Amino acid sequence: MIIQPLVSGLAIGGIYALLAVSFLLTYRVSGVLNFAQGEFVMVGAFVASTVAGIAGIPLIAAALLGVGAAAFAGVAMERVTYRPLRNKPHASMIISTVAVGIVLTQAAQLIWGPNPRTLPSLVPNVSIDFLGSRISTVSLFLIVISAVLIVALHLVLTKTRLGRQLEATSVDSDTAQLMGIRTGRLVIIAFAISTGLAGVAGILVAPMFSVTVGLGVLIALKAFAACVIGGFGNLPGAAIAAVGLGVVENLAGTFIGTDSKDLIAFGLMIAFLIVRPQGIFGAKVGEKL
Amino acid sequence: MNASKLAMPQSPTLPTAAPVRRTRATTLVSWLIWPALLVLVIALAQGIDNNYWLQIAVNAEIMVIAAVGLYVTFGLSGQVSLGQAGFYAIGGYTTGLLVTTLGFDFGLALVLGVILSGLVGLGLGIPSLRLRGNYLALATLGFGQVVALILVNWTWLTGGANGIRNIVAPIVAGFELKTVPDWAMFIGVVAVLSVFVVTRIKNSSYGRAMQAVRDSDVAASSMGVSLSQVKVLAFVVGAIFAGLAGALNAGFVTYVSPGTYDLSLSVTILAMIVVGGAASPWGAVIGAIVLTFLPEVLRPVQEYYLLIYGILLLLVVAFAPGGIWNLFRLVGSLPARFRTRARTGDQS
Repeated sequence: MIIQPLVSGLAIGGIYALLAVSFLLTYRVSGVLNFAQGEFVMVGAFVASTVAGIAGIPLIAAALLGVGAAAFAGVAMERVTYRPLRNKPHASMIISTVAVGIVLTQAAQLIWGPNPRTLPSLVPNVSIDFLGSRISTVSLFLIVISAVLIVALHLVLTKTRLGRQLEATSVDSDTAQLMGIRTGRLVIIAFAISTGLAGVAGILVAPMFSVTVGLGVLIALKAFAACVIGGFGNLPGAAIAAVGLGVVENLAGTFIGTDSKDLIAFGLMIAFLIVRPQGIFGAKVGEKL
Repeated sequence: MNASKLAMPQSPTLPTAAPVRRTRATTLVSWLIWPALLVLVIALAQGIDNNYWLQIAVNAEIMVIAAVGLYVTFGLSGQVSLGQAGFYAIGGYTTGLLVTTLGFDFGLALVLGVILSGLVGLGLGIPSLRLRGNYLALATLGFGQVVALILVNWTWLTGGANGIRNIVAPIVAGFELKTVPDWAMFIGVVAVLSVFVVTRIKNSSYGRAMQAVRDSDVAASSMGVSLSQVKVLAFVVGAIFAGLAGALNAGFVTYVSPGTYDLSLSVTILAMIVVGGAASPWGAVIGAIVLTFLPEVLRPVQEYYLLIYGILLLLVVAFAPGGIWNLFRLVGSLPARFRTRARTGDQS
């Protein structure tokens, strides 16, 4: 009984987690809290579904193009929001990212129209028996891919030269620059990885819903909530909180009622902001905030 | 030199070399503007005989109220709120519910709606004190979402997707507000009063404390400004005016339904301040009017409206951070600046 909602909770939680770590990546490296992150989810899914509609192109290629498009859009965003505004008050940056979200949504609306599109899953959708419950391969695929990507990102950030440079930039950009790190380039890389991951989330989640301009909005808001709950300073913490949020919300949806599902995430978020703004795993709220 | 001035639109004084002297004439003008504005809104209410445009004008007046409120929260004290739609909804729904289910008088219901918005603002503002910048934006964003979800899901209270209909017209000073011109006059007067109150707040000691907190909270608190009091007050003022705007809107359109109160409304109200200019209440007024009429003006290219709006917002934030108001001021201060330059030979 409990396994089915648990698995779908883990699957959607994996999506939240992907988006949560992508938020935190740009947030930590550049200080930009990207309120347009959800729109990159939609961009990835739309581009992939359009390319996949062209005969003869394999789905995996379409998916990669979708991710590439999202990453490219992210780099473009860095040019118009972070670069001209990096020394301005944070309010300008917040409004600027919100504006990018509006522009992306409206551009997508103009390009792809109001009708929802579909994107097939990269794996065939079969139900398999697991401990007496039927679970879908699509959900399992979501869980595996998001787990792999998050672990990979974590390894890149902690074990590689690039990761250490990103960490140095996020801790103290000026000093990092004095140490010979090209912080400007790293911010671009952070944006590309971050929005690329959002694109992946879009391609993974699109088979479960249909591809509309609003595809990423709620997911992004949930990922925000997860970042707050897990702690803004802490990538693995936010990922764990995101998965937890997905599970809790799905179980609540099954056992309490779907009405309460969305309220739980935002209620928890506000409660955490008020009681423990550093989140479950976070250290004390830092200067950057 | 010029660029650095543009980058600091929020500096409270004009960047001219000579101190601005307030002569008796300018003081008189700054007081006469209020009766003049009252006459103007009444004249507009009676003068515009096209009902459609008059309705847009009423919407603009309602948005002016919400925007000058957010001006106190954001422009004066620098707190970004992405949840104004939540307060707007609380004002509207409280008024609507009290009028339709309990048979309250509209005026009383409106006052109670505004009070409730203010109390919720207080409830959200006090704990949010510890939150700065991005965190406050997130908390208000979450608040807006919670309110929007409650409107849809708590059908027993809010009527769910149907909302609340048939909010009966109020009686103000003995006569019933029935026609659009009546409403235009009533809401116009309230809007002018709101702007008046906000300019008084701006020039009060509280307003100056808010600006000090915005520019440097450390400096402000070391000067004896109570950060918590000032920030919460600014937040509550924003909530009160948003609630007032929502309540008036509910009365004017006679119904409330959840679609109105989503994130895009919060973003629009914030955008009004940014586009109009966050340095002055008049910036908020200009922003509210411009962004309410812009979709009408752009009706021929309707499908591009939101795109244009997004790009406009991006451009204003990046290149004209003081908004339209600052452009006005720059143009207005040019003669004085030329004079100073001619006199002193200073290049600044």
